[in-house]
Amino acid sequence: MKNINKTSLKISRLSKLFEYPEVVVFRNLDLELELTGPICIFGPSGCGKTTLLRLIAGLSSPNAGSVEVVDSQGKINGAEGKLGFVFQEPRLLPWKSVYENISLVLDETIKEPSEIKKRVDKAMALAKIKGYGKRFPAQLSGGEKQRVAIARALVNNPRLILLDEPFAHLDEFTATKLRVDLGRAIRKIRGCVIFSTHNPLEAAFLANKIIVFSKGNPSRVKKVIRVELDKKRVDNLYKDFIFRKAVQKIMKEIFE
Amino acid sequence: MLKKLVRRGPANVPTLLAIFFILGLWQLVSISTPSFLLPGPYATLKEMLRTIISQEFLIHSVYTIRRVIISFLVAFFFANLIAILSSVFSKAEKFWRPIVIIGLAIPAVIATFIGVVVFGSRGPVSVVVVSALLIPELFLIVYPVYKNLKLELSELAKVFAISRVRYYKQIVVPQLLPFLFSMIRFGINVGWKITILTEVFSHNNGVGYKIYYYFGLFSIKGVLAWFLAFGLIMAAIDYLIIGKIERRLLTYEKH
Repeated sequence: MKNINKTSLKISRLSKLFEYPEVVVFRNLDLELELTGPICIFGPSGCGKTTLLRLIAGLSSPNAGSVEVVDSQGKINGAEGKLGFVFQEPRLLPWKSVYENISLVLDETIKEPSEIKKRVDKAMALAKIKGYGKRFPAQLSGGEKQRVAIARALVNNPRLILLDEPFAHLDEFTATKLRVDLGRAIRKIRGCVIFSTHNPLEAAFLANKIIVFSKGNPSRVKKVIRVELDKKRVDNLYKDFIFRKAVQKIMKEIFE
Repeated sequence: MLKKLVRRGPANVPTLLAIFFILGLWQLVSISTPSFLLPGPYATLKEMLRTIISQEFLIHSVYTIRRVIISFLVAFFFANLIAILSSVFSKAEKFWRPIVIIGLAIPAVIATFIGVVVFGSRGPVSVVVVSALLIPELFLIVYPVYKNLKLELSELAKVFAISRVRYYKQIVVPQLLPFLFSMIRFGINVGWKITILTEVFSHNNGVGYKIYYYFGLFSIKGVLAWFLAFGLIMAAIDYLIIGKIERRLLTYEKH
């Protein structure tokens, strides 16, 4: 990642609850973390990973407190920011081709067709779906659809990219390939990356820092784990299994 | 259409068989019935062709088609308006639901009688009656669509800061489009049959009026010829105009 600016995730006295049935997801949660690389929000189902990402994206509002991602130019999340977001499911428009699905979210100030094509082609190359432009979502596999969603999240060169369990619905064969390709794409872009997962291998492979949440009412941060491994040459997560220690460390936090 | 049927050859055998079956049955019944009660298919189709090229048919068809289109547009507008209001405000839904249910229960003949009593046998009877009968039917088609517009796609628009114009044009309208076409097809196809019925009772022009005229002369051949000729025109409008636009706009459904 070529992030030059110092970027931080600042969560202060964050409270979020859902009514009917009443669930307190977070209560007075505080956390400050420098984004020196991809950040992973890790934890079991129901610990508030998606809720936290939605709060960061501005898709949901906190009941109290705040959650901000700030760099030297100010806040870059929420409505003020320039975001890229990958949902759990691809959320593609079936009536639009792959090319149109990606260009749909492109900054509307870009009018020049050649510039639009350049941006979309670049995003498609990063997501490894070159030549898929004319296909429709119904003609794609689950993994290919998620690649389109990743390309769509990258097309605006966003300063912040959020991925909500992006490979949770994919089979392990497809997911493991996508993780490698996403890891490479992340290293080529400028934006900061925050993603959520419940897969410890995915967390260790993609993130530099892992925020481990415990499930509870409310959820809390158990630990922030640093992962310092050289992942550049990894082609196969299982073959080049350099993550054993990191994965064990993460899982220890969960089962303790 | 016929060319297409022939070109596809064996695949269309069942369709052609169905057509021959209907014509055969018609011929069989007509042989055992006096010709003034039920003329055979050949005589009727010959009369239909004579009718379809007559100036009289053109004039009366224009009256009927105009009434169908105006009634449909009025019904289309109000059905959408009520559906939007009902999907946004639960109180509006509670207000309109019983009215829609009552509207669905009213037979076309009764609505026409009431229309004639209220408006007299001229004027806007046809348009008012047909629109009033179509609104609840069209509402039933479109209301669930407005109610279930995909929330996750509005989140997509929000998170990527897509403008309102782009959101409605490229995300909302395409979701509605297949159902709007269902409304158009259903509305026009049901609408022309009710319009003909209202013309029987309330107008001195239009295809319904002419059908009633031939019925008065005990000419079943004339009744069938006018009905079939107009039915053919409406089927052509449905297939060649509405269907073509629909196929062009919904190309992604092929994939």
